[in-house]
Amino acid sequence: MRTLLACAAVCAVGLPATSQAADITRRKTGIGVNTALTSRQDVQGGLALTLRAREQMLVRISTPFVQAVRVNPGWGAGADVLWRFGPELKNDGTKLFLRTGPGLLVGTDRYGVDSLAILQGTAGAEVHLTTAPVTIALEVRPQLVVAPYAAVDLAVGTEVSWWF
Amino acid sequence: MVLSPQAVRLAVVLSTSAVLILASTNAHADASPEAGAVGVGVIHRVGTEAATRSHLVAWLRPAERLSFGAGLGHATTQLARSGLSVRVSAAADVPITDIGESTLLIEGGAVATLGVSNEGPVTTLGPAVRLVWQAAAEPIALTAGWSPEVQLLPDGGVFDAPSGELSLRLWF
Repeated sequence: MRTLLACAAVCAVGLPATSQAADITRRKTGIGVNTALTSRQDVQGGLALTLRAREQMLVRISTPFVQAVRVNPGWGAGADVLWRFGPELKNDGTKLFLRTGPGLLVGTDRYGVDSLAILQGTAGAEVHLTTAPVTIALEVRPQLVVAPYAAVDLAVGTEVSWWF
Repeated sequence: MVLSPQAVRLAVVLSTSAVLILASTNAHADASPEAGAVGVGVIHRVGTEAATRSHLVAWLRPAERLSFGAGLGHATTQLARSGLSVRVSAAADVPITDIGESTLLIEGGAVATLGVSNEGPVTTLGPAVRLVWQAAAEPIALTAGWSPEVQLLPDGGVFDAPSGELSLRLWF
């Protein structure tokens, strides 16, 4: 009954059902690829699983590779908490959001000898396409390398995710 | 071979006509962003005198066919292996042809980066020529181009000619 009432309300205000389906801002799970290159020529990222934990709070887990300060190749995983916010610019149905938040990367070199630990912040733009439930994110990530050496770095990253 | 003045005039008339016809046939389907649009994107540059350098860039299109960019990213050059730089660019574009609903443009301009690195301050300056594929269904553009540059390093300058550049832009 509630469903029928909801459908009737939607029809009454003339909102097409397809626009609801295309609103990927509300979807819960994104699966994709995340890669970043740092100024020290380290490559980080891999497969990315992004979960919308709260209203516009995203938790992103990326794995399996991480490099730091020329200790490579390395294996590891990263976790970021990202808050998505305005200005929500639009071009037809395509939307642009900004997002920012802290994160970390941990791992080892391929021999399991050196530990890798990196603290990072993320600031970037997230674009929601109209023709597919896909987001493209562009990011800069200032990083503090804690192990195996102390250093500062800057990563520039790209992420493409499909949302379910 | 020496061309006669008539042949030169004929060539000028034909080439001008071809450009006008090309421009008129492209005018209706041009998917390039309008004046006043703002954009974001990433740009990657690879050269023989530098490892891969990436910037996150914001673009502004104050007038038709004219774009300015400003970005933050790496300061990698021949000597510098780590650091930060600010990138500024200006470019003008011309539509070449349509590919389905999309548009192919050619873009020319200049790029400068100002940075600090592990080897001290580094500055680069150079022209850029790019092919731009502008999608019609989404406000997305992919570019590929040539971006030679002079790298002004603490111990002198290096000219990096064999270089490539790739970028992704999203317009709003």
